[in-house]
Amino acid sequence: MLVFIFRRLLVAFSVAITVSVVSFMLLHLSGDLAISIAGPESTAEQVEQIRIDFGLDKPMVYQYFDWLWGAVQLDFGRSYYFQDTVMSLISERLPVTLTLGALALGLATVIAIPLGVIAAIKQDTWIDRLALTIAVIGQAMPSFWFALTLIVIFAVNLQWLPAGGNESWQHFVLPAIALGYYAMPAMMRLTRTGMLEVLNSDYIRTARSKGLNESTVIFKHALRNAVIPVVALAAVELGFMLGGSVVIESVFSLKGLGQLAWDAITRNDYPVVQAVVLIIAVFYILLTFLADVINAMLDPRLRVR
Amino acid sequence: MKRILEVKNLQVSLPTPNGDLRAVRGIDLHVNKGEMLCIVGESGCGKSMTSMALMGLLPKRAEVIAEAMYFDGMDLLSLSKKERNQVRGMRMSMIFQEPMTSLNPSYTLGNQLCEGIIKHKKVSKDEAKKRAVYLLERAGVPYPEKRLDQYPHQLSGGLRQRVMIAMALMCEPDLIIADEPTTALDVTIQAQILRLIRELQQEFGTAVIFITHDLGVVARIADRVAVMYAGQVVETASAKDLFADPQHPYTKGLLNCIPIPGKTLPGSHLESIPGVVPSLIGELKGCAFENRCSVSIGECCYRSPRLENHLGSEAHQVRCPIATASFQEAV
Repeated sequence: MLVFIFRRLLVAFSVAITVSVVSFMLLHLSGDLAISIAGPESTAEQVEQIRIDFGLDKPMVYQYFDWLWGAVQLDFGRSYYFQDTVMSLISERLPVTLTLGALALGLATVIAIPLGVIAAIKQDTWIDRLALTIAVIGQAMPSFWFALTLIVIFAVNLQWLPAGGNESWQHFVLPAIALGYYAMPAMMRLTRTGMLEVLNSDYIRTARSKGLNESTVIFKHALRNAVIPVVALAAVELGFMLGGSVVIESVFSLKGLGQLAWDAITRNDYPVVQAVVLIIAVFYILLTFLADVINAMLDPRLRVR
Repeated sequence: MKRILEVKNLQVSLPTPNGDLRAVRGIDLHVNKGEMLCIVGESGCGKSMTSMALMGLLPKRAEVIAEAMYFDGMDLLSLSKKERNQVRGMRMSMIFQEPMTSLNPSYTLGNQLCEGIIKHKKVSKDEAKKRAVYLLERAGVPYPEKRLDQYPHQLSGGLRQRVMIAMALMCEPDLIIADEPTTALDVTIQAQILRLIRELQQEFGTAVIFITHDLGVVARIADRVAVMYAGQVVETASAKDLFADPQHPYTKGLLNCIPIPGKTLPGSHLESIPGVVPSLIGELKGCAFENRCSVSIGECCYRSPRLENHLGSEAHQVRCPIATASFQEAV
């Protein structure tokens, strides 16, 4: 198991390095940074001055390692647009996005797994159909529309919860529901299919032949095997929520990482874009690593690979 | 001899889009204490369905009817779900065909061996482990203590089947149903496993229903044999009588299909039974074997034969009026 963890860490680390190179390169390939920072009305001398000020006259490799060395020390330089360091911008936004993502994923898991299990056990009954209908609606409904509907019902009409901002926990309830409902259907379906497949397997028949209780058969013998692909999916979905919750964040005007990324991209604020891309990628890699470890704990066959 | 299991007129049907599949069509069976009963028949004759019905492992949509299904004096069909769970697992257990997939990949062998006995007999973990080690050793698994912490994927198919056998013996059951336990194994391993099952059965005095399609296997281990065809028992006899004096045309046909070393000449034609098994959906008119039978007469098409004593002995019964004297007298 330790060897397994070590090897996975090694893989994770090399992926992180690759991502850092790619995200660095992409920005520098998107045109002359000095010109776009200086703006259209600047003179050649001003552009040259900016080139020297931002270190853009140095060789690319030097710039990369310079940036990487800073990144390792969590120093991503200063924002071109905001009057602040990139790190303080991110440390202000990241907790908001993480809270939202964790809440949404938690909500999705707590609903998706039991619902998937019940749907599988009661296959082809009304409960199963209802669960599938809920899933289809969740998949078909645009998340911004659902978010707006929630605001109209719970914030405007009933006035139970605030419509936007991130001052208290109440501000996170509606966004978490909106984002969670978006993530839930895929997990629910995967749990259901996994359970159906596992419940028909030979080892479940063996477990039944031992005269075990139905609950032991389902929770001990079936669920553990059915949930393995769901763990991997959950990790990917949480990673996706970190980067992709821009829509939900702007609907609820939450000051999260998604919104920061959006602002930075529209304003050519490259240090911020680079840092956000790298941080989301690192979280993605960590989550995948975590999912691998959890899966190896669930399924001993994975430990050998 | 005391009967541990007695089944009268067992019927199993499964709904399909084309109508009810009547997989088992009125089976009478009994198993004496400590004996090895072999159920033989080709694929789809209902032998596995019979075993699953006896264990109570059929899916809910399957309909199981029987005049009687007694296990050690208990009516299995009238037991509550909980009582049935107690009987299955503690007093009846099962060995399956596929050792590669019959063990849960996520739990250690020790966990899977011990969970049944811990539940049914309320023994401590250590006692359960001790018994597991003892039985693994008896089942010929090398390094039994070490195995308890291993996972199924670390063992070969033959070893896994030995673990399954040990698992089936954990609660000292009165009856073990072995559903083609050697079919998925290499021939050399097959022989070892057969010998093992036979040895353990005699050592522990456990009754075994051994399901197979292989008459060679039957010849080596059976005390009694029931030959099944199209969801019915067509002939039942002691193993000795069945091989020495087969009566039903189907049994004779099956025996003819086996090449005998030294007797069957190289290049000579190997017998087979012509035709195919009739569809088991809906009613069958007359004798199920009629379309493949070499001795059938007109009457076989519409008269369903009953299982009758051969030479007045209950020990040898045949479902063929031509083979038993009764029909010839009637004609």
